[in-house]
Amino acid sequence: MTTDSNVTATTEQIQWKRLSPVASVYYLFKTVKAFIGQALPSLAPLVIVLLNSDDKALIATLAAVGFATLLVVSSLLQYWFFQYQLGDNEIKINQGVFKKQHRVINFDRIQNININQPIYFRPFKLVILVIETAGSKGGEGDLAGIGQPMAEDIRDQILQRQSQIKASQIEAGNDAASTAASTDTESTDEPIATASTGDLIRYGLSNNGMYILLAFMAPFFPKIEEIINYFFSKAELAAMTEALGGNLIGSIIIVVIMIASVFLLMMLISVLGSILKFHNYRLTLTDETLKRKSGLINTQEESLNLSKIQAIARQSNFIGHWLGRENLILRQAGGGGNKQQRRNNLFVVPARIAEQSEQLIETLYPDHPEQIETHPINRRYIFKTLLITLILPVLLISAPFVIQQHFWVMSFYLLPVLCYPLVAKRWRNYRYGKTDEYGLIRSGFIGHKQVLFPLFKVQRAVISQSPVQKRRNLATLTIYLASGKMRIPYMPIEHARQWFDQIYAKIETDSRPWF
Amino acid sequence: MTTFTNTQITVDDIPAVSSVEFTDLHPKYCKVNLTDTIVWVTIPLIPLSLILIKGINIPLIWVILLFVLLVPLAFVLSYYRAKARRYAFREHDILFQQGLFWQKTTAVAFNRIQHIDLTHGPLERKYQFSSLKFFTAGGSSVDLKIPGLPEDDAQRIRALILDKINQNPNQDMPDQGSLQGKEAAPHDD
Repeated sequence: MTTDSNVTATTEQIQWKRLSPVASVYYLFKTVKAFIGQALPSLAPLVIVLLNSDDKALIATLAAVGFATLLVVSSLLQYWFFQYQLGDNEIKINQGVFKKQHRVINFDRIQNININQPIYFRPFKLVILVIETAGSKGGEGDLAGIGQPMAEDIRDQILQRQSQIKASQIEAGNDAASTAASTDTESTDEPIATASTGDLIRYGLSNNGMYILLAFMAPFFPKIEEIINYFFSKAELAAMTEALGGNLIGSIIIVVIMIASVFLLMMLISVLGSILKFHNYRLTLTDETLKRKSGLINTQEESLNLSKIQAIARQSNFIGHWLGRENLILRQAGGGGNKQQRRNNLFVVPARIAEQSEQLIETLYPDHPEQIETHPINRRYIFKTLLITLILPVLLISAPFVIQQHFWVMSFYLLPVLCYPLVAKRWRNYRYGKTDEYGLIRSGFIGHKQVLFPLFKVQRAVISQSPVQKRRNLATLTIYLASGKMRIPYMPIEHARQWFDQIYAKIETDSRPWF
Repeated sequence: MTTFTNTQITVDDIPAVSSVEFTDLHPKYCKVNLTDTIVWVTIPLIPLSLILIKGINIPLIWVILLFVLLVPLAFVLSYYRAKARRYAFREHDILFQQGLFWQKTTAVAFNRIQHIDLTHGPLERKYQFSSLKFFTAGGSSVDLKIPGLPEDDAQRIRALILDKINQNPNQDMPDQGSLQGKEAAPHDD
């Protein structure tokens, strides 16, 4: 193995290349991150030694200097031992200081190829080329610290190679059907979607990621009193309660204000996150490849081959609904069940108005029908949902109380009645429809979600029937795509069978690759 | 390679799942499956009854009654559950049906198969049965499993399907390493 990046090896071998020395900064961050994530808890004994020693300042300085040196040396070594080689069909990577790793990534195995630019690479015009394969956990195939033009070159080369392979596959197979998908796509550098800061604020508000955060914080809600006490003294609190109307009402108002401010804070975080990630959003389509470029501090460039889109979802929560915006999510094949990974496999086009979404879908699926006739699901869905999610749990939980004659618990029996309108709304919004080529599933109750997918992308379908459904000639159809599963509950059994038969006829006769 | 045809089909011509003739699992397998029930119903019942008797002071007679009622019921159910499992092979896919009360029908198209596992648990091995597991890219676990196939049949079916997959020129798809199934479980579900 040659060690200098400028030395050209014999004519047969292509030279091994090194990253830019600035890459060691990337490794420094990476090591620090890994360190915080993994090694920090095991440092507790050291801290105890530190606290028990006489010369706290001296030992602390020594420890700090020691760590810093260790980190710097380790990132320099990581940089030094990282070499890559670009072939016609694959990229080879050698890395590892003690544990050597030799990796060969075949171009046709690459699932995603993105270009990211952290802020510390910006002055040097360097980028990270992120190469993801279906099985990779992340980071293994990153070329951190190569020139931007070069990264773009490599990416284009890989994408070109991939489309060559694809073209030969298509040639061997069904060309009548495939031309429909590939002809009409424009190839300009004009963005097909952009987003202003205003749009991004709207995206931040209408993005459901926020509620995931909320669920995360749910365990803290019972402790809300402690949290309040932490921030305010008893006297202050008493004064506030007094000012707000005293006693119970005052306390309730304080709690409501607290919850509202947590909510607002999260909205703010969500909006900031959205701007951080999607600032200067530009979506372009070249040949068959979508490219998304955005980012406030770290610029990210993400590309996606059109043939890898498994489904397109238009979705919005109630805030988005109210703002008249929805988000377009291009779903890709997700490796495994890992939630985090799933989320990374989503390609988001933020804050579209309905016409923009339609236009974009038109560009991505040129052959998709403008109108798909949809059907409602059966009304019994309401009863079943109420029964399983509310009536049974409420009855079970309340039973011991009622037996002990605490009849006030029975007021909870009103819960299903109160929730009825919501469930009924969900039922009304649940619709499904298909044409020869596409399937469409709509759902949602305070927001909306509409998933459009080409039938040939389906991996598997399941018809299931409970005893009740069987009596009523109903069934639930579950459709598995490489990007996840979707359900159509309580549809007539004939429809379920029609979908099932048509899906399998489609995937068995259509030879376009799903991947 | 045969020439590719793609004649248009009307809805009536689409092969219908409702007209497929399914094959039952091997009758002997339904009995082997009962041995499974001993492991999964009877054995867990023993510590449970101990808890009931010692912990909550429930009279022995009730616990015995529980056994007398539950165990035969479990046997009957599991026998008929095994009986209700049926499979069918078509030209381009495998179909599988299961469920006594909650019924399920699914299929895996040959050109969506990522890989096939042939497994046998200790009991299956004793009676020379195998299970075939089919994996697609649409999910992280087994997509379709045919249990209780006589060893030879399982081998033959697998070879046949692999052959069919290899005939198809478009099967040049990346093997998704992350979708590998877990190690063969030593028992049926």
